[in-house]
Amino acid sequence: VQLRFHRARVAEVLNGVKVQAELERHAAAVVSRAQGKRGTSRLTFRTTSGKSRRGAFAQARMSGPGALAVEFGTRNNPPYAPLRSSLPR
Amino acid sequence: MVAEAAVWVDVEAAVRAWARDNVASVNRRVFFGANNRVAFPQIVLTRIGGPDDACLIQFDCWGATKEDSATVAADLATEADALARYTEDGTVLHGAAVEAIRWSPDPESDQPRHIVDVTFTATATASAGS
Repeated sequence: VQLRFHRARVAEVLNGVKVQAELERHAAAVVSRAQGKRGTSRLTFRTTSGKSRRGAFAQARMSGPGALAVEFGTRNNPPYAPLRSSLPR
Repeated sequence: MVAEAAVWVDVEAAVRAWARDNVASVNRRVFFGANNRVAFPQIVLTRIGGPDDACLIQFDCWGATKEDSATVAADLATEADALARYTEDGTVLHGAAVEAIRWSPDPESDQPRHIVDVTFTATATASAGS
């Protein structure tokens, strides 16, 4: 409840340079661990970052042929999930 | 002080048993791979990653229609949220956190599917660890 009274301050902190840098560091760590299927995958991994209306963000992204099918699987193939399996626990 | 070795468990098997017992809308049709010999709706689950105490499981909720798969996904997420303690064959599921529900029909056949990501906290039962 107290956070409501300090909404501007909270937004300022969450959009600060240190937070942005930390988010980018986490996204880069995920990308460094992510690997496509060896020998068959033409997937690429990269990070993007910036500020949206909801605040600072950084993303680990995967692109390439069939990227969604590789991450989430299909009716005939189980998910390989290179991004989610690279998330820190 | 010597740390005790952890006892790792088959989280997927315990989660499948839990889902069969608790997600009524699929009538125990919960599998490790897609099953074309039984009716829809059905759930296929896969362990994505993480250690046993933060184990990410992907549930593919397949339905004959989008409404069908959405109903199963909602049932599953509700039951996961309510999970307090479930014991199955030497494994204890202590709780679960629903990470996401997303609409993702099969890219090959367009079969309706909702994907539910759930993180489970599992350990061995006390007797299994001794």
